[in-house]
Amino acid sequence: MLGIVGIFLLFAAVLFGVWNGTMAAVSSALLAAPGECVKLVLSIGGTICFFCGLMKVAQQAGAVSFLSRLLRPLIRRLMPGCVGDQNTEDAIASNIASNFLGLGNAATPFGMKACQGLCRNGAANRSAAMLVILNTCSVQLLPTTAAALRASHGAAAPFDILPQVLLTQIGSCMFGLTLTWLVFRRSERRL
Amino acid sequence: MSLVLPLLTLGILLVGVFRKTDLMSAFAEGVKEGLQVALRILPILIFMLSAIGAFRASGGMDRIVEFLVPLCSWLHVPPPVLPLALLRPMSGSGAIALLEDLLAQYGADSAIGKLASVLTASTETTLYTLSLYLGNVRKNTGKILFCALCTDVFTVLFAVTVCRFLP
Repeated sequence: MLGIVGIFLLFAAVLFGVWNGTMAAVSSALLAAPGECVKLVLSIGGTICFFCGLMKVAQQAGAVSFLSRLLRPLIRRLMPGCVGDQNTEDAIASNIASNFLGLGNAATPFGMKACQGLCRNGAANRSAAMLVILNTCSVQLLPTTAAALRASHGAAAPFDILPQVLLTQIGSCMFGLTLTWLVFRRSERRL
Repeated sequence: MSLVLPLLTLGILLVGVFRKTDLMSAFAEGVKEGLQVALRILPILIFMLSAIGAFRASGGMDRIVEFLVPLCSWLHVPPPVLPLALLRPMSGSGAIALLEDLLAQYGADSAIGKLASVLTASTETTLYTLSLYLGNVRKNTGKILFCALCTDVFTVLFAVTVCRFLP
């Protein structure tokens, strides 16, 4: 998928290079970009590693299970399909809590397990839809990657986007959950 | 705002000490995972940043942005941010590459740089998440895709509004 985008971009670059007479700039960009990229990954990699380490400490200190317990009532409301199925409910709670702490590697297996528990007979119900939408809304405590990139470009305070990110995430979650609720309410009534 | 990060870091470490966690081994384990993430995105970033860099150097990016201006002014989205908004649901590493390009071009503290960062941070790789979670589900996936994509569009417009009122 990304390969096609890349080829398309390079094809367009050659085309525009001929058209605008910028071929020299194109080839020097091609030579410089990989080196810049390695430098970039080295500089943001450090920040990412630090936060992965920090959040791992939080996880082992019990932050995920603590958050999961807090989330229980909300989960039962939003995803009534999990009520009575303790394993699925645990998986949903751990998925959302891990996502919140930025532990993507830990969140994915929980999410897949939760989806399997929610989807019976190969059909996604409202509960499963709610879970997937919550996962695509990227509910996260710290936007580490964006902040690391901003820091590498000399932002005065890389994390000063926190209020905007928080507001946007809350807004998009509310929108997504409401829309999903409406879409699935109509279809479940028809059944 | 500058208090959040140091306090959070300190708080997590203190809770770790209090709960008798093996701090260093937990931290090292996390760092290892972080390194794996960095290594995993490196090849894709090299490929994408080279392609984007070449495309920008050829002057093609300016053409695309010019082409997008009418649509963008209608939606109140700054034209340079629109390619990022379009790529974000499809590819996480591709979005990182575009964000990096925008930050280099306009600066990290510019309005465009901030909006692009907020956008990248508050959305997910929707299509990847969907295919991962709904891989063996056959019914109703279309409806979920519809909801997810509508939410992505809403998030872009909402992020623009938020960034306009909270510069």
